[in-house]
Amino acid sequence: MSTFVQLFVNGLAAGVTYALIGLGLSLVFGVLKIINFAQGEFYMVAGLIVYTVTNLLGWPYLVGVPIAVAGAALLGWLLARVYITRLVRFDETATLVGTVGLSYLMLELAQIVWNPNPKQTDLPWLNSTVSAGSVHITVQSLLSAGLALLTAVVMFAVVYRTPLGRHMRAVAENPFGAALTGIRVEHVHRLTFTVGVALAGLAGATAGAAEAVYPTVGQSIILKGFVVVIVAGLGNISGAVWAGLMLGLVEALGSGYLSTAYHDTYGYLVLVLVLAIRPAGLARRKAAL
Amino acid sequence: MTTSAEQVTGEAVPSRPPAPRGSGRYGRVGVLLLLVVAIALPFAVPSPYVHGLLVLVVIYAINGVGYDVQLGLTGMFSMGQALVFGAGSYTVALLCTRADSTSIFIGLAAAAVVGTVVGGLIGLVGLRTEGPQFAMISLGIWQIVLIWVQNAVDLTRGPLGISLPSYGVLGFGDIGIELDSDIIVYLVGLGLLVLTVGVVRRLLRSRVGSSWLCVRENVALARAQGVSPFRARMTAAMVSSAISAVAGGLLAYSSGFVSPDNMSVSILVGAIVIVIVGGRGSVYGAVLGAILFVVLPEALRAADTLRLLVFGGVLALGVVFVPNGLWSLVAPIRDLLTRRTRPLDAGGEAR
Repeated sequence: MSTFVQLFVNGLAAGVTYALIGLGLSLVFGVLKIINFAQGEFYMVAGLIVYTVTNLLGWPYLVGVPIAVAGAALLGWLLARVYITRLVRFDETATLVGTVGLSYLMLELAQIVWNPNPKQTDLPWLNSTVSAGSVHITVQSLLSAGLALLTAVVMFAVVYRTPLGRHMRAVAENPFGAALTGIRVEHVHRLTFTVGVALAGLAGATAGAAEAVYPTVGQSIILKGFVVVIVAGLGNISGAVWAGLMLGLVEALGSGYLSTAYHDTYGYLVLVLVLAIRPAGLARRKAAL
Repeated sequence: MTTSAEQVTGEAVPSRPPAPRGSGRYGRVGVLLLLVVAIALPFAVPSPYVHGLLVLVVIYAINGVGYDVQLGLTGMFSMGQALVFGAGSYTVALLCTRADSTSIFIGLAAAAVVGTVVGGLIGLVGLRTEGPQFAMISLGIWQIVLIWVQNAVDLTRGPLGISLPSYGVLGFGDIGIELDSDIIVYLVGLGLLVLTVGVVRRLLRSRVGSSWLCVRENVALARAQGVSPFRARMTAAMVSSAISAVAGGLLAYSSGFVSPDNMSVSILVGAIVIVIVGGRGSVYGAVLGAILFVVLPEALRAADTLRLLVFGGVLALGVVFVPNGLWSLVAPIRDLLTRRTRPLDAGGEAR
């Protein structure tokens, strides 16, 4: 029983990261109607920035995290400014190809700036464990989960309770109609893309600090994000959170009770099952956001 | 975004529909002339280095034409193409090592069959969805199989790879020509390329090809016309995978070595670059793309580590700045030479 609880807690801790990645992907798809294949690369960049700031400059970790998230957001904003707003005008296949290209461009540049070797942020207090009975959890997991929860709450408040959120939902629903009512669609696109990649950056800055970060890490992270958004239904942001936590649980339980060698494949097995039953994902209704 | 008028006339803005028509008298003469040049080239330039490049050009061209069937002609973004390419390579390698069969007829036919089955399985799972979801699911399937190939040491020898014990034989049993030089491999590949282009262009003039174009341009209209999008995409996935698996099989014969690199990301990115640079939906464009893909990095002496960087940049910028690919720049010149008019060309459309 305690094994189960432990696996459950581990699963939730991993699921928080997946939820953040899926949330960003879903938000960007909902508003811009593009799948951002480069989402994992923003996770990677933020993780490497944290490593650089804490290990090489020796600054405190809690300063590194905001710097990394800001770095990922700035990079996202610049890319949105010079590239993404041009790309959204093209058809589905072109936008997919474009972000795939972007993803390899970022990955290879990171290999040049940082080298391809895995980098481990060296922070003993972050990887120390807190225990409740026989269940253990690292400080880092608690911190990630807390930050992710806070961010998710803020994000949902912004999307559903503020004028900016209303504009986002309007553009998601119908960009042409939104433009007619005076909403600056390009502006909303830029902001949404920035927020979406900043979420991946947050995941990279927190979870990335616990595990080794390397330039190709985004390629495996994005796979998790894809499972999350397809299971949840594309553009469904609250579904993405639940699907992310669920994916974490499935992987943890599968690895614990079946085999760790196929840790990364359990998610896709679930995905195939979900698709067999509900091709549009688990979402109850088709929501614009 | 395409407007409805463009969807009805089939002149979508970013992707130009190919000409589903015969090449015409001048076109045929032109193709024949190019073919003669292509056959004479390895004899005119007696350099093993050039011969090696020519082999790569034909293999990538076959793979590119195959991938164009999905990405260009049917508008499906499959990321499982490296998987079927590698499946073709491994089929050939296992036939050579386990079954002692060196005949390339048997090897490539088996590769095509395996490719069709793998492509069909990807379609069976992935085509329950469409668009970006299909891309994501095919990516996942490819990654799972790649993990398995790297771990199934008993069958694939994992990352060590399989060395082919002998050359492939153009014939059956021991009777035939051994593929022991790059010139022979190149000529065989060239023959396969001509066959592939011919089959795809023939299919384009058939019902199957029409259903691909129809589904690419307007899914709702396709349904209304009684064309099943699932069926069209499934046939495209199978035809495309069969062709790519043959390309993978040919690479196994020419390099004599098969490893997980044969289904690595560079195969996929290569196929995408070739189709996007050449021009989506133009079958000859893929051939042009393959020539540039192989020759340009060599000419620029780009370091191997910079390849993906350059290709990533080419993809990201190419789709925005040259959305119709280089073939869209070549086609008007060809039309000028053959004095073919294009009454329904994009220039004449109200935009």
